[in-house]
Amino acid sequence: MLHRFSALGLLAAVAGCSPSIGNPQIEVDSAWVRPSLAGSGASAAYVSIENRGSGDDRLLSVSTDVAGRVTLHASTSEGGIARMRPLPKGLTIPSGETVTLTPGGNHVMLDQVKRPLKPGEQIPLTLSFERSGTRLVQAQVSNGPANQQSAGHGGH
Amino acid sequence: MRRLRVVLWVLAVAAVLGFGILLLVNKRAGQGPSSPLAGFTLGGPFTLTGADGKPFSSSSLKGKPHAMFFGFTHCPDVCPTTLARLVKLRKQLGGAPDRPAILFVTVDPERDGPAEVGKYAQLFDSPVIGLTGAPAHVAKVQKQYGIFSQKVPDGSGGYSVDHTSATLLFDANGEFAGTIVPEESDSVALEKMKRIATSG
Repeated sequence: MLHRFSALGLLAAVAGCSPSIGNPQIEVDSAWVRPSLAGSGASAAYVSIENRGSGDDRLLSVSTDVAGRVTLHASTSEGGIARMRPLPKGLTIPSGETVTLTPGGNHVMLDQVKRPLKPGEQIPLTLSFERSGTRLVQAQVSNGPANQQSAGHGGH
Repeated sequence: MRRLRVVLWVLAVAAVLGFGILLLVNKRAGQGPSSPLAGFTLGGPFTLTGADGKPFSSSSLKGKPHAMFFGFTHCPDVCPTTLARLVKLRKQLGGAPDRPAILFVTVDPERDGPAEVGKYAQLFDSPVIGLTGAPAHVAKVQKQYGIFSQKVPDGSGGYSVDHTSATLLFDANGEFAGTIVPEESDSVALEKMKRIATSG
């Protein structure tokens, strides 16, 4: 029995599909933050996280000096009701996949925003991963994703 | 044969009576064939508080189509996404005869005073009317407009608010003209905005 399990583990390692075996390779891209006026409630940050490695990883937390409190959240809209819930376990970034935080879905909530966030400005965000450590990105303040903005709101 | 004639007479009288009652009922309900939602009422007059701290009466919207969204300023995702989309759609209407006003009503008046809704409404580079009021007033307006909301603890001492995600649309006559929901595509939502913008 034991032999069989270790054989399976080895197979998984070779195939690169076990979450604990293999190395994740994380790249963070397309970061943007919603504009905010100091003391005007909350803002949200969105990023795209690509894992080119052979192992899974997990986004645990995000920090930035412009907000007093930063939390990972999921928004849902079901049965006509919009809800927002924390993601206490973070967000899994499977190997070979790109996880994109988008409006109306997963997002980074910035609470107690300390100063106005003006469109066009760059805001530093530090993302902490379970296995890959931290990544620093510059997020552009805008009312929509950066690529969509430059494409002039291409539409559907 | 005589019996058949009696039956026919009874039927004829019943038909005339029935038609008369129908006309009367229609007249009472004030129904017209123009709108599929005719006779259905949602909303109505209200007075809330504007971003300047002064009373804002729904009478100031008379003759003006409007889109009404209920949210809260500590809502970082769904609310700004909805408001930014309404602003974008209104821009896409271009030279429509009467571009709809966009109203943002807080469902969290305990945290959102006039200053908070005012600042929030300014974030979209286009006029958005931010409204709040005494909690009892806001609750009454929510009931009038069929808007659900419920506070939910966020696990770290604060709270979030679950709320109706639909935007309510009203035409230039103040008649309820449907909703825009987040799940709908921009093209469908734009058609709905066009409909109220040309209703005057």
